[in-house]
Amino acid sequence: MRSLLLVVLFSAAVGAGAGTWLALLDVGEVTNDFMPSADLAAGPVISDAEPLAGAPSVREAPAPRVKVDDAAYDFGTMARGATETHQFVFTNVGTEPLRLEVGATSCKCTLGNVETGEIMPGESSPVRLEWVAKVNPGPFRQTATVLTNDPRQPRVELSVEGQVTEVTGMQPREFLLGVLGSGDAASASIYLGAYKDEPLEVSAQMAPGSRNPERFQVNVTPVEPATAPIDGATAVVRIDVKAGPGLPLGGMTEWVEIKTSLAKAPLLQAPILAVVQGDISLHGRGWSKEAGVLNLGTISAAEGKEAQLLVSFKGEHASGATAEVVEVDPPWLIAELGEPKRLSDTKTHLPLTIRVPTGQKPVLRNDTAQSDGDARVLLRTNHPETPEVDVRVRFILTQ
Amino acid sequence: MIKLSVLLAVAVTLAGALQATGRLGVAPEGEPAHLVAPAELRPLADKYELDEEARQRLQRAYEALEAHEAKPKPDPVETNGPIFTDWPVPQAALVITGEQVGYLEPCGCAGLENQKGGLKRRHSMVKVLRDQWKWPLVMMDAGEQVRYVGPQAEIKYRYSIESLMEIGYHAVGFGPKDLRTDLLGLVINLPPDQTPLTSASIGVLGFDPDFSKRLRVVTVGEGAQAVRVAITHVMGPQALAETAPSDDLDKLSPNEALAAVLPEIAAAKADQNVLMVYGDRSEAEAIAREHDVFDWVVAGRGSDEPPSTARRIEGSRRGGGAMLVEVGHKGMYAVVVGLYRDQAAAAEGALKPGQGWLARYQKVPLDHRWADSPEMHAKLVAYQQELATLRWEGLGLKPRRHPTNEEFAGSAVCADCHTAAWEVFEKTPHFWTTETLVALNPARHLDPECISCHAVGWEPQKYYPFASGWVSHAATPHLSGNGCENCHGPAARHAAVELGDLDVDEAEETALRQALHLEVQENEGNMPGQVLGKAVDNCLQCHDLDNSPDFDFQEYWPVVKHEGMD
Repeated sequence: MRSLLLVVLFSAAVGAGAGTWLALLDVGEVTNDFMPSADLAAGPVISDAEPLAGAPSVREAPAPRVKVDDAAYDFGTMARGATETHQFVFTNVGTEPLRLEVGATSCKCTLGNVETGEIMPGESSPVRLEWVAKVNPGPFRQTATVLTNDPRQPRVELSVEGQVTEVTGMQPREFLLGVLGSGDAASASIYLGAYKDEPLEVSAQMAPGSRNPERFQVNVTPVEPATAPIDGATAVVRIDVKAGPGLPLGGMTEWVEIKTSLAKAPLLQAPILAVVQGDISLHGRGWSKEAGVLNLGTISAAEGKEAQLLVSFKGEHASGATAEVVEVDPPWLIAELGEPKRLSDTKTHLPLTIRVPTGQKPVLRNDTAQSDGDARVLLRTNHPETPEVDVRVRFILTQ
Repeated sequence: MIKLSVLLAVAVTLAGALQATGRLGVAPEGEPAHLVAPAELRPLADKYELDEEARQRLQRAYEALEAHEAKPKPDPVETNGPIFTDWPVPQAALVITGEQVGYLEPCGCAGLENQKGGLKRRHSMVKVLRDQWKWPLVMMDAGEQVRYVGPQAEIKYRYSIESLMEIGYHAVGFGPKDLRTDLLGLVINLPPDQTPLTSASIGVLGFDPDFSKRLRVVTVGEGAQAVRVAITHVMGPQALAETAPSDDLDKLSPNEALAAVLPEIAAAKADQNVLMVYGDRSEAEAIAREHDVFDWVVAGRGSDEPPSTARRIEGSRRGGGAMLVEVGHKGMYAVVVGLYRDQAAAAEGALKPGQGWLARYQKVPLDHRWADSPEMHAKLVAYQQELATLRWEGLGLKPRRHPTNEEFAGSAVCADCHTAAWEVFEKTPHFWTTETLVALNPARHLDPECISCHAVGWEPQKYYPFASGWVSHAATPHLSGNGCENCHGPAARHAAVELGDLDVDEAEETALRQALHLEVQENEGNMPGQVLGKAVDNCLQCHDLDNSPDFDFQEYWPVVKHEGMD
């Protein structure tokens, strides 16, 4: 094993040194890659590596040598679905014929003009890369690898990059209402644009199947393109959604259906996203506001488990809000309230620790037929509209 | 100053030699299996209440998965290239990731050996570099762990942060989708001395330092070899505009945020300063030029994959100019920057801030050269268990009416008349897609992001059930598999009419048939030059770039081809 280690160390040092020396010798300092100085120590010690044969003698041997004009090309802005091509020029600056073959591509790039024969020393050959921008709008980078018989550069990674824009500009892509109280109303807007003077007529309404559609108003208003956040659009509308009050508590995703005159986007959908909270809400690891339950999962009786929650009071009654634990089921479940932390006149936090202590008998406490039902912690508060908070707790306690 | 010069590959590499010995980072206890053990199939079938037909499909699914597992896998080094070619041990190595956007693991539908990414592989990479090679790592993530909103995204975000903590990350920034989760509920459960959450522009409850830090100063190595790296994060203007209103969060523009943290950065006098920007390249460059105190600037929002090298940010001067690093999408890559003290520069005289360092850059494909980490596998198991415990309702998934207003009947009803099509269908993997998920370790059939393409009656891209769609093996056994109605549309009314259970006039009977008719056009397909028709568009809802990157309709269609009423 020791001799193996020595071989690895020696090989690492020789390999690193050879690479460093070649780099300095051949090209000097340029601005598109890195290397450390020549006097660095040996490479990492890898105890389970195969022994290496030693450094290659690439400097002396006649060999092909590949040079690419610029291995990264920027297509700039592309419309979604558009196709672009670029020709990379491969030149053999070595002394033996250069052969190319297609390697891996990262996605839907198509490489052409590869494997068309040998490139003789001093000669060049173009390699064509085609890419169809069938990806979501935003920046893209796609790579394609060309394998060569140049011993010092057996792989050349070509890349194309740029920005894909939507055929139809919509900014933002959702109506984001954020966190709001159940008694609050909120509004959000998106802008929809057309390009190249395409006429734009738009109607919008809550999608079929929406719950509480009467709680939402959807309006469409034409706006001046120059004032809208959609670059290059020649016609723009703003779609406004007003929501609430009286939305149901919990996370909410509803959809707005948008019908347009645009040939490539006659029907669009945009979600309305919100989290609706009452004056009192719970936060913490495993707390599901949708199910109204604290999920502690499977717990070993020998280890027990503890969860930290925050009881958050908001609104006009938050200042001076307090609570106490009035009931726990099972009786051995521990629930402790900490000191209230008043963050503002309208926000107070109360820490709540719920603990499954060690040493209890195995039990199933969830909503399945085989169990005794969810465990629970009942809090009494001084909030005039929500005097009790029922915290259900779900767990499986095993041996 | 960071000197730059071309690094030519040499044919023999340490990493290449190591890769020849097998997967990197295999734990002493071995790798977690992708499939359940054969002996577990029956207990699983009992647990999930599979009927006799579903048990047979489970067996077929298992055999197909086993056959795939036994196939030779492509060589990842050949496919994605060698890494760390002739790198000496760095004095410090920056490990930079970001934009995981929900991909705790690659989907696997197209074979894990063909996909990159996942926390299991990322953890193995870190263990190899840090524990085997003894590289002093400084680990950071630019943010955006999740892609969607809602309860599943919240759970996923929590598992992501806890996983990054277990891997050993020092600093983790935010993306706008991260902030749509219940961040407050998460941070109160993270030990203040261990939380890696870092941002100068996003704070929780008045930038409470127990919850997150504006700046992290990480020291690796010891004595004279110690390297100090200062890391901060800001959210770019566009991402900041995408954040949801919340009175629990504090949000500052990049300029406001950096104005507040710059004195701390100056006081830290770190060897290298890193700024993570959750924004695209142009935003990151603009911020770097405006605040010229950083050596490395990370653009967290960017292209599909990182470039092959870092780029100098024109107009910045610190240490010879800041370098831009991009991290790519979906956690498919990690970027590693090796830092080396430039002894020659040090010998020349007094160094200005940021000077005296050389660097190497490597984008690391997280492909199957890296083993699956048992620790991250355990996290994934716990994640799936939590989804299972909450079930659809607890995950906020309420069935929505199908756009056609119709209901689902199940493929077996279709088989009553369309016998030839059924004979094709039941021989294809589409027939047992639901049970495929049951046979995995851990099972994924209670994960909305998986089941939406593996059973009948879900919205495949938005991960919610339609009314009368799949619920479970116990409640809706007739809706298993990626059945007829996922392409043709819900057919309950059509079936009722054809079977004589419902009387309608001839016009409606014809209309119901016509609505389900789907015809493949001439030269229909998803490749360049082919016609993107309605049939192939249906396929692409599940056979998308993430889950089926090699999908070629004209190659796949013959396997499932069925024509005519029979």
